[in-house]
Amino acid sequence: MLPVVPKLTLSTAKCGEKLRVRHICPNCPHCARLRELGFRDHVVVKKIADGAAVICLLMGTRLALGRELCDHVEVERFAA
Amino acid sequence: MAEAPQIFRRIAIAGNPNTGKSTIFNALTGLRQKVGNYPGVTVEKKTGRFFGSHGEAMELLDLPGSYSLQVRSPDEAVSRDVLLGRVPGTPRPDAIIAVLDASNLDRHLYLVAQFLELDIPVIVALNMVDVAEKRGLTIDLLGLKNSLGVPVIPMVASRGQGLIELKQALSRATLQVSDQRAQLPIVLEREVAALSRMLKGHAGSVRSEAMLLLSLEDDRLAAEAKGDSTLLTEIHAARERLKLSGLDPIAAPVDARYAWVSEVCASTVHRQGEDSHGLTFSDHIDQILTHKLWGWLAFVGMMALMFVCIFVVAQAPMDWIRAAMQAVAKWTGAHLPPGDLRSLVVDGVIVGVGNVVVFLPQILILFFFLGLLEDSGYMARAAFIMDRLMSRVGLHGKSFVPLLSSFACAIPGIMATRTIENRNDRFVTILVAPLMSCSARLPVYAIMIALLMPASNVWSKAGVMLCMYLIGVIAAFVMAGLFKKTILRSETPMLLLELPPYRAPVFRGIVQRMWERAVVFIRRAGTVILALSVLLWALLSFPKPTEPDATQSEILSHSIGGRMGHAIEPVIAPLGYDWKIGIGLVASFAAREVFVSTMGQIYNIEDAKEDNEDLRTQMRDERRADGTPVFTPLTCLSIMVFYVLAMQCLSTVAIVRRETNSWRWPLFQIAYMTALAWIGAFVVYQGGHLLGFR
Repeated sequence: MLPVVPKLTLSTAKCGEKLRVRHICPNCPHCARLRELGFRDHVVVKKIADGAAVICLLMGTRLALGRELCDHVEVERFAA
Repeated sequence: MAEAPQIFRRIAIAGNPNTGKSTIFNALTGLRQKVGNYPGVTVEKKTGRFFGSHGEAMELLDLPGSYSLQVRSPDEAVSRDVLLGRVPGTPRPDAIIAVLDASNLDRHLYLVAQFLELDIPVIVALNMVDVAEKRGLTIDLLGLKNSLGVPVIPMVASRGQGLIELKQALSRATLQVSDQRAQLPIVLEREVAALSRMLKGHAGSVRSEAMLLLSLEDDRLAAEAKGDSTLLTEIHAARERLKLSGLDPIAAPVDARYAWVSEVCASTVHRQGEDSHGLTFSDHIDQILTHKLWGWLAFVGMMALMFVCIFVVAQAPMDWIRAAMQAVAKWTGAHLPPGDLRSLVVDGVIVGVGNVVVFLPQILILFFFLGLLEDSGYMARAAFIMDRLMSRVGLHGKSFVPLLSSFACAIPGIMATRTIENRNDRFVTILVAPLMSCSARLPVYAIMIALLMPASNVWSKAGVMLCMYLIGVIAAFVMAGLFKKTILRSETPMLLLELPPYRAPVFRGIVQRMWERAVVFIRRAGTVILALSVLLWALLSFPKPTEPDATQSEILSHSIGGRMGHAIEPVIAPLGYDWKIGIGLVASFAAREVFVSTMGQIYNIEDAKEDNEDLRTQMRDERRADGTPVFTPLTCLSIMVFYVLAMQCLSTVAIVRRETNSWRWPLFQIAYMTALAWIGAFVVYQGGHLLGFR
């Protein structure tokens, strides 16, 4: 049996990594605002700082996101 | 009387937070709206007037920043309601100035896409083009104009560049509604059109209203539909149909608009060199200021530096004001005959007002530092590092921005809570905001610290001052946690906050704000404090005892004020206060700084000397009946803790009433803060005694 690979989310991704958004959950009130801020499928995001909250760079804007909110953003590593 | 010119056009300034809307508003109208480098500086609409290129009168509405018309917080709701013509007494604007950050078009154009759907002429103010150039971005202005179908004005608003062109664009005889907009999926368009036919109003606004209703979450939908069951049924049916077609009613319009934005940017924005994911100057600073350890040290260090400056830099001007006040009092005393008039002028007016005015330099230094923090972009970082702490009490870091603003004054702090999405979280923040030490507490802290440690160095004094501010912060956290677990329960919100790039503070703007603050302070001293001082003088001087040879202490004790002090003495005696301090507490219920002027009046009337000694000396010499000093270190600490925790500000009560739309919350706030202040002062005084301190 193949090992289960845990989902990579914005909260579990490493700091400094360049990432691409795979999916953010639909019908979620928190994600609706994320979507309006530009967190859409396939958009490139960079995680800058990690702590109680996360700072990421999205379309030239630095955004601070709570860790729980970052769990809603599934990402994949992006080879530039 | 000259008639006011007829308004030619009503224009709204709108856009994402922190794009320079208020800067453009100020430049066009000549007004001085507060500007700053953090999201949420403007939380309500402001109106001003200006004249166009041909002298035509125009009305300008400065709207709070908003990321979307699908609002999340009360400040964003103001923008949406004005643009949809929902606000009674405010006509729908004739045009919108959409202010965009040129260095971040691919995100800021999203809101423009929504504006274009409103069927209102739009003029794009492409602000901060200099920043875009520095980042290697070249924007094809003609291409952008054609893609959007609206005039595009490149601007650097902070330097006034582009203002003339903006005025010219606004002064055109006719402004066209753009025919360019994001193409929504046909199924969604059909549902929007069907729903629009059910709504009443302007053709442009009903389409947007229909779009907003369709993409609202269920909990907000019921409130927006205002109990219209037919409408609700129709919306739910439309959503079901959309889902059957494979469309998410919330995500589909967002994705469609961003797809359109991507197309526009692809053809008009050209980047030289690598993409924008390299670390910028702001990122390097953030690595320290948002660090788990260094971030905290930097925050505490900045606060400590501020308090040291408050003591060191302000000392000389404070001495000058104090000397001038004493000289005026002495001169006036020498030129007026002894009696009630001299007592009124010297003890009531000059001493009462002078003892408050003397703290103006310290207050200005506080505002200088807060101005630096606001303009540099640090406020959002402070909110970020506080998020861990705030989440422990059920709030998120965003609530810390209003709390930090409350260090200047609780009123703008309470108004800034409009950026908080959740109603219960907003009310919790309002309830605890006055616990943050505002500038009106400075005079009380300063005089008590001077009594507490007259010979200590400035670092020790700044340390005690910092402790008072920290006690306020800790009390705010504890009470917020208590309220969140009891009367204002709600889920802990998730942090989502934009961190603006660091910018060099504009010193002219900071000095201008300090000047405005000084005017407010002097005006307050000349009106509220003066009126209270005169009233207090009367309360402390009348009625006079019948015995002609009564001493000054007996006269004071016999007065209405003296009797009030004696009446509350049993309640305040456990805190280490005598009846004279009690008068100060009662008198300063309307405004905290009145405590200092009250003490000045009491000791001046009682001493009845002509040399008008320094208040600190008078307080230091004050003795109880048993000969022990009144202002012992414990009493001074107890008074400071009382003032950290007590409400004592009628203006704050009024603003809480307005923001909560009820008397219940301000009355509760007065009750809990007074009880907290009494308990805090009691613990300090009695606990200190038990530990052997005096």
